[in-house]
Amino acid sequence: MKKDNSKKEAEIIKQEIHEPEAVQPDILTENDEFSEGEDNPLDKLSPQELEARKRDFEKEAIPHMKILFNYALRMSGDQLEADDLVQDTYMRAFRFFHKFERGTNCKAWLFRIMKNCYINKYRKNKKEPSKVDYEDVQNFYDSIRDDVVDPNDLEHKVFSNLLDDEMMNALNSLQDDYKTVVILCDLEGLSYEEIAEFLDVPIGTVRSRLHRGRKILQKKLQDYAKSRGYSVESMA
Amino acid sequence: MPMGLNTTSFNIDELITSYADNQISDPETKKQIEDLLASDQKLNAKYRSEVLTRDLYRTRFPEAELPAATYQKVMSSIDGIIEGAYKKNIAAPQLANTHNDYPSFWQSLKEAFTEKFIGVPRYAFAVLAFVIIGGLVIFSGDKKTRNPYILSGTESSIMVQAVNSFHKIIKGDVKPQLSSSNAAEVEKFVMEKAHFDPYVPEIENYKLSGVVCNEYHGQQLAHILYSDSNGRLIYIFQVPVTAMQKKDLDLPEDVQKEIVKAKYYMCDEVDDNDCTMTLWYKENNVCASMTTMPKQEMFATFTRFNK
Repeated sequence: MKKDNSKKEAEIIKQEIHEPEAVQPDILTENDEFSEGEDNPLDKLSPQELEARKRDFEKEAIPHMKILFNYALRMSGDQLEADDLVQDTYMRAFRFFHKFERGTNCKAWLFRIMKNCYINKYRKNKKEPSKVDYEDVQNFYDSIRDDVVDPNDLEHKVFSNLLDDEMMNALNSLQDDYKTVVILCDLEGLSYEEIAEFLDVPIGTVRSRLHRGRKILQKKLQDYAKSRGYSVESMA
Repeated sequence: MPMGLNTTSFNIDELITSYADNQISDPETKKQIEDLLASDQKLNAKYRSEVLTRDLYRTRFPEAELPAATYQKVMSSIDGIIEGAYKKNIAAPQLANTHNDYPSFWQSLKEAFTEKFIGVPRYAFAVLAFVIIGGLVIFSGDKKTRNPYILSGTESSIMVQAVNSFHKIIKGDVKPQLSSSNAAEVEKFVMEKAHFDPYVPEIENYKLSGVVCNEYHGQQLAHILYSDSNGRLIYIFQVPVTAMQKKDLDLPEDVQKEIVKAKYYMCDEVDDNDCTMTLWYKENNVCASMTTMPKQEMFATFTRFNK
């Protein structure tokens, strides 16, 4: 059993090395299976079928509204946009509820619809955050950590004095792929497995994006701290 | 180097991320990482720094509550979709038959009344509805309203509650428990007495004059009063939206839909003083205001203070 698990770890590592997408993620690509162009599938349903669909939908999909709202809120950074995003997601989900396979993860299914809604309707209108070269961040960390013994107490004090706005700006500066996993893992508390299912990517990719996303965040937070007069060099 | 970790430092760093998130299930790999963290101070510092960043976000941005208005908006949209689909379903076959046997107005009227519903002719229901509405108009006492929702509303209706409470305040049957023009004081008072965060707006040309809190079937309510220099009042009834979810208090479904759609519902002639009532959701509360101002004037005032 232990041998199998070790094998798995080795496989995961192998996967990370050979996964080019994990090194520098592209912006979330548009892939909307819930196209609005299709005829409204509800038009073909009888009143009884419509009522039955509503009952099923209330049971399966509605309970996940809170987590979807939270994700939308963190992604858009605006309550009104989050509100619209949740509404659009649920309207599409209801129309295409026949595409949901009973017994599978409804939360993940809804999440994928929301991701598509976000890309199609909201993301296009927003300015892309400036790309941060992960290698630069990695080099930065390697250089400042060379002589480090225990920087964490000081780092803790410095970071604790950062404003919520600064932390939000740092999060918003991440590319969507990184931001999504950071939100889902660090703010929503989902496991890697759940995130992998939501995003339809391997667990190794989730871990890789999370690691890089957090590294970029750390760098951003240190930049904010520096701009506010904290001596971040002393952490090195 | 242990077998599971026999790779580049790049991947070790990522495995540290998994370890920090407790996502490594294999005890052997876990132990190897722990040994490495104990022996490599640089790696240990990276690990602690990553945990610090993660925990900082986790604690600073806790999960937000789902706003009741968002929930209502979604449910209303779904009802709207169903209604639209239903209408299309019904309309299609009917349209196909219209040229053949379109009934005359009198035929339709006759059919509508003589057709049986659960074994009873429909005209019987029409007579019963007429008697009930007539009775409500006669026995509604000092309400004298033309608003159908208040006419047919029961005691648990937020609209009825707002009208009745406003009348009690005007008559002097209920006095403010706190007289204050300080919004923070009023908020604090409601938090202490009614245990929810009220919405206390600044209203142009009106001065905050006080607040009363009471209880209806265990549900805490707040009544906030404003007056202008001519003694005109704006009264705002407030209750957390959760009261509707718990069914302690209710609002007619059509009114809820209108609030979600237009962001408010406004009606006049709600009592014998021709008062204007406005209903809206603010933060996590349902607000129902009453005022003697005409509808147009209230609309202008409302849109200025409720931004």
